Amino acid sequence: MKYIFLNDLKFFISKKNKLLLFYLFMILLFSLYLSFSKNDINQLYMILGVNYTLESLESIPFIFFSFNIFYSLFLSLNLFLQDSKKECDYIFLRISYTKWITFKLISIFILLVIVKTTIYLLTIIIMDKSILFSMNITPIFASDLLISFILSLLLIWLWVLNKKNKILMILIAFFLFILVFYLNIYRNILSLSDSLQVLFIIALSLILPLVILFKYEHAWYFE
Amino acid sequence: MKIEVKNLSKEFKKIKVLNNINVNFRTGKIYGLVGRNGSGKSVFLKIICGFFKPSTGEVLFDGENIIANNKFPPNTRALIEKPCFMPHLTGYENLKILADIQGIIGKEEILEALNNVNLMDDKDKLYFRYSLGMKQKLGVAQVLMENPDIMIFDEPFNGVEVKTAQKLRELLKKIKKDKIIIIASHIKEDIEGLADEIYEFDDGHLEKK
Repeated sequence: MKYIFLNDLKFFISKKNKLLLFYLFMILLFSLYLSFSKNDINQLYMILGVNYTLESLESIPFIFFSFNIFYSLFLSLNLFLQDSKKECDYIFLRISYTKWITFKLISIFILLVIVKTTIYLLTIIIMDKSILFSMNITPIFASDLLISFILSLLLIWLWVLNKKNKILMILIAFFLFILVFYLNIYRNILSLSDSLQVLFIIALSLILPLVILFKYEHAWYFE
Repeated sequence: MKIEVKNLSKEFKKIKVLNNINVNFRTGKIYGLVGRNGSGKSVFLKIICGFFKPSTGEVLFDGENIIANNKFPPNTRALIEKPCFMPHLTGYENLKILADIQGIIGKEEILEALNNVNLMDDKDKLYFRYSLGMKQKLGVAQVLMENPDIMIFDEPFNGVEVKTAQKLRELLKKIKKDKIIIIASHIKEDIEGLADEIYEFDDGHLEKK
């Protein structure tokens, strides 16, 4: 676990992770600007990217929502793939694939926690410190984290399916698209903060088959 | 211990990289694989390690098809292509953190491995400050340190000075009796005088020399 986690931390200080610096800069800039002007709880949620809904036509909430989701996906996929891409394959002669995938997913989750905690603290400290001691922020943070993790797991699954059967991947991606947009099951992250148990079960139902898959098939990860 | 490679072929996007390879590796010998860059040596080694699946054929470890059974080759360590370590740890720390994964060796074995590749003076230097040759030596050290039964080296002498290369050759000859050691190189002179059997890759085929 220690090796995998430290190896993943390496990504944080790599040139590829400049996107995080840009994201943090955007948050800092907007937080400072809004803290001096109109400052209410909805502005804070907007910066965190948790109160955007698909019906909304506003661009700035969309931008922060996109950053929130896109950065999580970018981080997770890069961390997942880096052990095969960077000739670190000799790790796998020392550890079983089941252990590797388990530790890798834990590592991705921990790093998402670190990134989101940093973003939440930065935003809250600048805009409204009193919220730090409010009970409301914790379920919102948890919901945001779980949704980012679930979307990361879905992206990893799509990558796996792409390796095994491109047509199946396209069909499933299309199905998910239909499910989210046309059946209107999407709500914003804020409103999902009262469904943490459901989110947790969804995450587990994506993790367990992935671990089992790696136990029985893994050569495609390297090709 | 025996590794049997039977009728092994490998294709990537309809390009045949390895073509009907048959070879056996046994304990007590050093095997040299030579061939120009891009001849398929690294792909072959990755198949043996279980990272790639062959398009056809099989690899048996003491009669068991480990790749088809999605298992690792037992007690194997490899250096294939470029070594990958953490840039902000020292050479020693990089080996320590790898050794801690299985926890079968301690400080003494790590230092011995570093000594065998003449990296003792640089063991406390941060990896990102290492030269190409030093990085390669550290890659070799991570293969040696846990004393595995099967050692696989892909271009181990790249960028390594003559003195260390000679020391490494002598060490491999000394320890080979209860191991299978496979060394791949595009330079035949690296292998001659070291390997007990030499095979050459040519257009995806493997021939004994």
